[in-house]
Amino acid sequence: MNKKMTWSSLALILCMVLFAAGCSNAANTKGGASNTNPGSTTPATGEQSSEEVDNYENGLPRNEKVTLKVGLLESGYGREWFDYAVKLFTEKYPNVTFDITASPKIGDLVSTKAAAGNDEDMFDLFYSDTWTEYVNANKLEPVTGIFEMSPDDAPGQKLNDLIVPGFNDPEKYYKDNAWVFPIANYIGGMFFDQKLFDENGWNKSPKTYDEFIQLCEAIKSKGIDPIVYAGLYNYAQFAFDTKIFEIAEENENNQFRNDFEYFNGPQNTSPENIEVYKRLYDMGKKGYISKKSVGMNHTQSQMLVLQHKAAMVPSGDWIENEMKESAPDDFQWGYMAVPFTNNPDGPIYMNNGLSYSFEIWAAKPELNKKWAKQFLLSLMSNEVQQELVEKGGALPLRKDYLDVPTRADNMKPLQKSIATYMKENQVVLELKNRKIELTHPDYAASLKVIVDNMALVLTGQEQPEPFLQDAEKLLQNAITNDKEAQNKE
Amino acid sequence: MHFLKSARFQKAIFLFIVVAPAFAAYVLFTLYPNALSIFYSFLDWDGIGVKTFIGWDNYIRLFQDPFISRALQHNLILLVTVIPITLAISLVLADLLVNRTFGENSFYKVLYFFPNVLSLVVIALIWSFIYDGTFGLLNGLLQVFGLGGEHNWLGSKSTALLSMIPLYVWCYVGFYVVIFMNAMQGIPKSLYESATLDGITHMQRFTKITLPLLSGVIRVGTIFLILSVIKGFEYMLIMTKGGPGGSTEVISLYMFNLAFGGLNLGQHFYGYASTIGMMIFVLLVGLKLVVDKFFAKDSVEY
Amino acid sequence: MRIRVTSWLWRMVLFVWALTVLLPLFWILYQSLKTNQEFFADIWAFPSHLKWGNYEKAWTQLGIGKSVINTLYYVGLSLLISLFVSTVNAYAFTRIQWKLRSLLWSVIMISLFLPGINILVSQYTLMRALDLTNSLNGLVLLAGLPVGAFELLLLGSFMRSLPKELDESAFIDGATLFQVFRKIILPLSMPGIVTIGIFKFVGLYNDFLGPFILISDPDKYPISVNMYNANAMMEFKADWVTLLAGLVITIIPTVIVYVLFQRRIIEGATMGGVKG
Repeated sequence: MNKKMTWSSLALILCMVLFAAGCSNAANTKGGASNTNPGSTTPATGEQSSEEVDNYENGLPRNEKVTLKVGLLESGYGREWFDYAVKLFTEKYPNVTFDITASPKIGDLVSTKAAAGNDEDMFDLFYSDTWTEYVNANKLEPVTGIFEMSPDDAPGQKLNDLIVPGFNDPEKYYKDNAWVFPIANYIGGMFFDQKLFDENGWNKSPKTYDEFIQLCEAIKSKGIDPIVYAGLYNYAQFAFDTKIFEIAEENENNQFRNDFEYFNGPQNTSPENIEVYKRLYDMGKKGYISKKSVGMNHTQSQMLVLQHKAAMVPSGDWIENEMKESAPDDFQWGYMAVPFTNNPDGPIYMNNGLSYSFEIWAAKPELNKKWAKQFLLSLMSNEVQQELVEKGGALPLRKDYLDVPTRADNMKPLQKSIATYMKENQVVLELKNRKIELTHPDYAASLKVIVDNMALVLTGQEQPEPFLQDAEKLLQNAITNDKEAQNKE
Repeated sequence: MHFLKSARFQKAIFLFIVVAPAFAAYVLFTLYPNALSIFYSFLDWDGIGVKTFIGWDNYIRLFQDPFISRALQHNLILLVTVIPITLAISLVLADLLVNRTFGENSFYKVLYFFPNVLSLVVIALIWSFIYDGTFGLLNGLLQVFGLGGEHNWLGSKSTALLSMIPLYVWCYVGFYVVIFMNAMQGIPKSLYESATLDGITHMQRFTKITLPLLSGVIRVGTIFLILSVIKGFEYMLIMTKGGPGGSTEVISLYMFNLAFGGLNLGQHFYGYASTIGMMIFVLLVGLKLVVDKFFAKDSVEY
Repeated sequence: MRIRVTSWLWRMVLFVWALTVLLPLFWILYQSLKTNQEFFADIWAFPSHLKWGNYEKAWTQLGIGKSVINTLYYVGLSLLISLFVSTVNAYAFTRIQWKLRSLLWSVIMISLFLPGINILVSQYTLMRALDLTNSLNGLVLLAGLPVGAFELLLLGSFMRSLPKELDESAFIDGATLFQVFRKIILPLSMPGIVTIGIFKFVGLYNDFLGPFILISDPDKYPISVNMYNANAMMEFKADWVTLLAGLVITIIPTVIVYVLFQRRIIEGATMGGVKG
């Protein structure tokens, strides 16, 4: 007994000593991090000294070597397109070299480096799903300026006029700037095996909600699960999370968009949202959304579709590329957006979003940042976008991409189907943009309530209202706090 | 005099060379970061921005956070199932391998240990496919025996956590079979001889002689199992992400998600996560003392 | 007769457990020889023909080939250093009497109770400050030098079981501490050393989080990080058969090491007279 007490107390004392040491050291680390020394280059901001400075057309010096550290997300798009972009860029600007670290889990690496506080060690350019935290700590470089620049293949025109609308919305700026630079976008919805539908005579593009339910019933009567989805990652969002807008239109709620964007009024518990979840719950109860979805990952759900054990799977348009090695050679993916109104002309909302992006670290030499911006600009040239589209299966962000007809032909089959679908139906691409950025931890907590429990609602096992109410409480708390903090009433 | 001095000096030098560098490295690379963690537990820190000292707030939050008590409940369920089951199976198998001379025993000895050699990724993959609701091996077997076999084991609130039990048991048994076998082989045969002459059954021999003599080993094994069950979360992370409905969220998973923004929400809570880390430490030490107390009455020497 | 029946019953028990270990491994093996289409079509079916090409693909595409040298260096060197440190420290803590012994032992044992995950960032910061990031040597230092509680416990218990007379008679003959260690204790502790060697090897070989965070140059990744990335890619691709082939390749070294040393492991795995 005595011996144990001795070791415990001594150990505790030791810990406290270390804790005290840790305090001072941590303070030093923090202090040290803020006095960064420029790494590999000397700033050359607008220094036109007496010596002749040899510049490129873009105004950046020719003979200053710069190395850009890149934290690359290796996603379904692969990295061929990126390597190609790097090749093009370094051919044009040989003084710039790239030091690339690629991983599907680059986010973990980025957040560790960011937290460690060593700016020289941090990436210049990286993918991360964190950005508000970084902005609040003044760690990100605004990318607003890039939208004012002209891509090499469209001189005289500003990038902002050339990209698909909605991806650079000044009203959405957080702290007056854009911080995440968009590279590609995706479309979400319901995906299915075209052949299976053709063989069974199923409706490949229902125009009304009733038609969609009839489709589900027809599929179910054949002993096949109409819908299965990756419950583990909440993939159902790709098919259903824009439906609130359709319900709002049906209810002629013209305030809805504004309320949504500015977080005015109930969000999770708005009549529209409750209506959507009620319908999903019903679908689950009727067996249209398979119970197997809970805890399923997307590979398993997609496997069921390939084996014709399930008919439709909510996902994004990367599904074709993702499954290309596993699907039979003649497999054709089909696309539909699910209509939630009974107006045959009523617009069907399609889930649209950012599928690839970059952020720039602020505490880097000015020249690095300028080159980083130039590089990001280059990713928006149609040449690079083409590589991304044709090799990666992405959707281009350049509006004028399809101006060249051969490009449309070279798009992947699924993307072509989607383009056809968009032509043949009244559709609206919905980005679900909000104008206020919520950073309060209760916002994250409210999302957690939804993600944790939605699979049980969608498969008809639990009623939606209690969860929605719990989430709403947390959300409203976050909204109040953040609106106060950001002075946005 | 000269000799004594030299011996002591020799000892000091030896100890210094041997212990100092390794211990110093331990303090630097293991203890120091954990000490920093103590410091972080008093902060509101998202890992990147300003560190705000908030005193005991995190600790107060600890007691009010419903996710904590829920997570601990899950850990409790695992503790009271995985540990006894693992120990029981390991003891039985070890006894069989030591006392029954089947030809294939030596092969089994090697085979049983095998899961310990596999990486997490492999094990998670295997068990995901065993439990799969549509193609899983478990369902397949149940169907063969006409016992249903349509259930989505990892996707149902009622079975997801329980599904983790066979997984953990499977992983741990191999290690403990070997440990117990060694311990059993260390028991002198003479102790059994007198009892056998009196005509006891194998079962009695097992419970009245073998087990008490192994109590030291069992005690240490229990402690290690407790450590593993409380600290473990990787399988939940890979296979269920804490779902469905949070039913497999164990305390270490909750802590991990808080620190590394598990939900891709882009928010990190290093301060609070460190607080949970402190709680886990205290919990583990406490449990160890409980186990020691429990076994102190039973220790037997021979 | 009754004895025979129960005997067979117990034999079945052993057999059943063996199956639970064998079947999953066998399953991975034959899955890795299928095409992705076959895999998706029917998980439990056997491949129509053995697609050894998956292994070649795994070797190049998953970067396994590149990582072999890194792995050998990192795992091998860390293992050697760690074994030496553990053995010599176990000796110091169990067979030599000195004043700070209990205190330091307890401090080391604390590490068993620490959760471990939350020190990732602090460790990274520390390594950064010491300029040891992106270096396999840094990893080796981190993995090999600090004395490990588990190894110390196992070896300690083993060494305690050796009779004290061995040391004492050697001292009387005028041996130094180091000589006693080298010539007497070390050889006798081989089973224990092999045991912790295996555990340490498996731990080092499978550990991916540390190397992933600390190394930024993909050419320096040990195989564990490659497999981690490959598995993470399954979120974006569905090339399972290549992943499985890669996993089988990674299992092979552990199998070889294990089979070679298994007898010694089993001898050395004792946790008997452990205190504290």
